[in-house]
Amino acid sequence: MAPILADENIIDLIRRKDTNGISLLYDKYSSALFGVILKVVGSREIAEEVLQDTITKAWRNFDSYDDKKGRLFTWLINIARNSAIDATRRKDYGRQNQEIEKVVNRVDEQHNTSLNPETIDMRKLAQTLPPEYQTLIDIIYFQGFTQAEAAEALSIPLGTVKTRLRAAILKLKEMF
Amino acid sequence: MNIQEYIESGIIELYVMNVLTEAEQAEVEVLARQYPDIQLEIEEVQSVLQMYAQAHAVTPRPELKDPILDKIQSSINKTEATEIPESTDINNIKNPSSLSLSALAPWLLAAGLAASTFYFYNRYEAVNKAQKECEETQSLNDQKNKKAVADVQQQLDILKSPDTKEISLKGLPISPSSIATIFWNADKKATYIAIRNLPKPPADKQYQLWAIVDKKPVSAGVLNYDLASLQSMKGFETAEAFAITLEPQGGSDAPTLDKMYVLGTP
Repeated sequence: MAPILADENIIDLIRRKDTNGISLLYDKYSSALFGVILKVVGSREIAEEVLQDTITKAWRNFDSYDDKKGRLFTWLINIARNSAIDATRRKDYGRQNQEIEKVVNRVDEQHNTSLNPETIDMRKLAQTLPPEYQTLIDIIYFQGFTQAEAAEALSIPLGTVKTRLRAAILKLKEMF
Repeated sequence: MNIQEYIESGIIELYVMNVLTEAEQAEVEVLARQYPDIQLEIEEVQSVLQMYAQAHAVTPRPELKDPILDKIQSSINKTEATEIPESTDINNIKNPSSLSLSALAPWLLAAGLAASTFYFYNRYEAVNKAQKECEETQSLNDQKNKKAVADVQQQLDILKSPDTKEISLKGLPISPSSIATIFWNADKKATYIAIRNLPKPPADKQYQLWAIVDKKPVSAGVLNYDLASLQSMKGFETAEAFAITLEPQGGSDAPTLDKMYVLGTP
């Protein structure tokens, strides 16, 4: 496997329109992005399309990435999540129609499908997070649920979403 | 505003997860610029969530990568093809039929007069022309010499100036014994280069000098390989580094990084 390059080098290459940059970005982040996309769309076939979409969008719109505002991965996961949500709408199994409960269940099921040996330790670690925290992070961070949608899905008061999210992050900070 | 309370509220998490409204998002960004603690918290939450996402990574099929890169590459080729400027602007070509006969009349008259005096004038003109050519050549040579002296004088002035930096570009693994020396005067926006030990480029290739300005490579022009003396290149007010790459004849818009021969920083 090619050496993992620092983000700033990758950013620099892509800004110079050097396709080596996007190749290195793919090597470094495609697995993490694919994991998120798969959670949203639930099918490998569609997830592959969405990943392709995400990478080409990242290349095309790289000018809109501002490294002062945030990490490269944060920017990428936003593109991946939005592309994935768009795909579910396009394929007529839109989130609108989908029962929120089913989505939550799918998220939970996928906690048990460990697929990437490299991150297996981190994965195990992440799974020690209390389930209600995991579900909350997953539906907002991965699935793009708003506060209100998350509150409804988990049958908790709106205000609890933020405080519970904060607690979940603090727990993660201790773990990683 | 109580910054700690703001951070504890969970809004930073929602910001990083990109589910805030635009107004809320803008608020967090304004506060982040004002309060380093908020900025720091954003960075920490980004870092933790990135690790969380990586913990859920799923490796896509390896066959997926090449088609994606091919697609990107072909989109670049397409853009380049459409960006080639048109060689002539059709609108700027004058329509010949707009010249009317009346407009041509004075010219026709002049031509007639010229023809009748031609024979007598002919001999005188031949002598006159030869003399004129002689004078012109001499004046041109004088001008050329003066300009050459002025150029050398200007080069010397710049080279002697205490503001001129001498930068050694050292050979990279591709050609370790190659060297180039740059004399760079940022105030006068002057750059001169002398190359040594660069391998002779193939007929279809040329060396190109790059300045790295604000982390981006900017062309300083292509090099004349056969010129032994200093070559004047494009000037720069600022530059973080200089490098030479081997490019197709005429140079490239972006450097070919794996054909970088020498590199040096001021």
